[in-house]
Amino acid sequence: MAFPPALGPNNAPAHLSRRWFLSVGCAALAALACPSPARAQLGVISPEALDAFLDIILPAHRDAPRASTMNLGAAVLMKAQDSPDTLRLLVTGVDFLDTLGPAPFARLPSTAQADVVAWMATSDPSEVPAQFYHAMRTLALQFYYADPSTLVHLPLNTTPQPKGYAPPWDIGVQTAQDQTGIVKTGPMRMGPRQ
Amino acid sequence: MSAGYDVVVIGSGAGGAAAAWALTARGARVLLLEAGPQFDPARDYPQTSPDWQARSFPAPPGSRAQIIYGDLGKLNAQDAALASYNAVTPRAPLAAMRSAKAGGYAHVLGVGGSTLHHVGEAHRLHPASFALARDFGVGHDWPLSYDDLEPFYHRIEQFIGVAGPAQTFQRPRSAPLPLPSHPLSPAAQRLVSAGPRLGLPFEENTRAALSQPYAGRPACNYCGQCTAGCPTGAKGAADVTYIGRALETGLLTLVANAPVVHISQGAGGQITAVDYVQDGALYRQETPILIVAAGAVQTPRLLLASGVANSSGQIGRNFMETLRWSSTALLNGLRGSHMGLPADAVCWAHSAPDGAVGAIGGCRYTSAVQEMGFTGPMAYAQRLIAGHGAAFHSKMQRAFGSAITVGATGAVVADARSNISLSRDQVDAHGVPLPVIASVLTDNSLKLLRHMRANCRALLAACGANPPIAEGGSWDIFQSTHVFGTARMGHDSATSVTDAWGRSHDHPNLYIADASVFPSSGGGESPTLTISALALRQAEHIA
Repeated sequence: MAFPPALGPNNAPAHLSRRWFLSVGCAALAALACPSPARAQLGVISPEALDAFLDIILPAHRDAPRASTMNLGAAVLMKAQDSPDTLRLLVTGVDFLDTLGPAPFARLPSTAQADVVAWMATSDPSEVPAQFYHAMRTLALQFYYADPSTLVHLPLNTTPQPKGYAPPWDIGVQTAQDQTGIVKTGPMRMGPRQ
Repeated sequence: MSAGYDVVVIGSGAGGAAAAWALTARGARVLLLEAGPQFDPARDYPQTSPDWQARSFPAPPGSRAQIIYGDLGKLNAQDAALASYNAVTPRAPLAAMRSAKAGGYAHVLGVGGSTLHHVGEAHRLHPASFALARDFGVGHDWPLSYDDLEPFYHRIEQFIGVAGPAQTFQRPRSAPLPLPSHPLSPAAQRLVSAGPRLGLPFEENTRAALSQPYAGRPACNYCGQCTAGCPTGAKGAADVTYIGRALETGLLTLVANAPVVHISQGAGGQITAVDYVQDGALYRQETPILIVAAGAVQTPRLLLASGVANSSGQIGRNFMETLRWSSTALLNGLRGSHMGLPADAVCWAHSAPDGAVGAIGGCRYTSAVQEMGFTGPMAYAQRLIAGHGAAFHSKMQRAFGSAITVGATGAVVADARSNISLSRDQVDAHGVPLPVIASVLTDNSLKLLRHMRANCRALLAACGANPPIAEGGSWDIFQSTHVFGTARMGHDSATSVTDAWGRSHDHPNLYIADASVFPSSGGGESPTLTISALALRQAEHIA
């Protein structure tokens, strides 16, 4: 897969191997192995890179702001501390983003950022970029959909209780493939009531 | 510690709680020992938290047992079509062995047991499932019949409040259910319409969820979170039904956070006492009569660790998991599939032991979209809708509420490779060896899984759904709440653990009241109603 030309011919992820990723991540992993209060506080993580990445994943949509406005990056950083593997992946992935091109990821043109993320989404799932993409996407979504503003335009209560969903339920337009001709409006009940 | 009790019961799930209710109703003084905590629905699962989509049934300390997984079977690449996948997670290379990492034995330790997190189906076993060996040449027969159990099914349905149709396919009923069926959810309506074209008619499922106010509990408001815990009491979990009523008699003493660590026997095979731990202290309780109802993993574990009730050598053997498969697709034009009662429609057409062509045991199909968790956009984003950015948001806006799932649950026939044993080197905090689950799928199970998959897919296609985008089941992931058979009942003391009343062949005052006693697993039914019916029958035999 061709790499975004905006990042230059020497940074073609299509040619990157596990060895390259390890070379990028080794510095980060080596530092991670060293006890460091700063590292323990995630001080070496570039929050700007993570925010920019998550803004590509979850941009503003209708009433919901973009990820950085919702502070999803901070939430993801905190959650990642629950798992050493996830934390390590986060550090490595952010380092990867910031070493891709001539500028840190957050300062790249938005089109370049989008191209990078799109490439990561479909890259080799055994490699760090894809693993980082999927892990951060999963974590971010947990916090994203906990914000009521993201649910406003969906036919969904913000929480299951106390309202529940009283019938009748909207079941949509009858499609041509449904041949039974059974009336579709309102709740369907089979057989006589007892 | 003095006796003071007529009966001691271990475990407060569907069996133990029903036993406690029935015994106290007949004037017996009962001590109910529960290993796990007592849950508070308003505190523990109110279903009002903004992050509800990320929550499942809570797991406070002491509410989940430590389980070791042994041989779960090898995965053969020629069966890779049965591998679990979804539209979002990149597919991993095929593993060599089946794993419990993404599932496992889903069992709640707590007052109410696994009824706290079950979806609340209330099923009667197919009558033919009681004579699997006699009529089909495999497995083991029950020492009683459907007709023996039918009156107790009826009484349990009346007590807890089961809603459903006037008659259930191939399960004759002597009297109607106390409550009418729930209205069918949007997804279930599609299956009801499409099923007959395939010879797979769906009907309203019999559910221990109130369709009307009943016995002081409110009707269900269809929040769709049955498996995350019911905060309203509409679901007939054991804590809000049997235990609540038993406590009202003043004859029940309920002790939570009290795991039993040993059962003692004395002269003549009498069970004399149990030892249990509470707040770090060890207590001994005399047992005029002891009922063990800790489930098909913990019951054999306790009996084996205590060295009781096993002259037959059958304790821990005949372990039967539950086969499962689900296929999920998006159906254009379907909306609101997150609304309604989970598992509200069921097809029993293949639930007889010979109901599935080419495999013995039987299976059933259910409208399972909510049971699979597709009740909010997070689940869609994690399993059904890939991508990111504006395109992802657009897809979600279009697709949310259009998921439809057909779930299938099937029987397992007992096999020598599937059993519960005690770990040789790992113990819990109280020194009791941990249980080891070994469960290997047989050729019969694989045939039944393929059958289930084929029909789930056919049903989705008949509904007009797009091709499935999330599927999976038991082939590569061991995940089971319903497990059976590890202290099975039978007439012959040489080959069974209890008699037809669940009474130990070895100890006259020891009974078992959970799915350990099941000689067969049925045709995919939920066992909860059967466990409770057996417990009621047993309790009235005792008292």
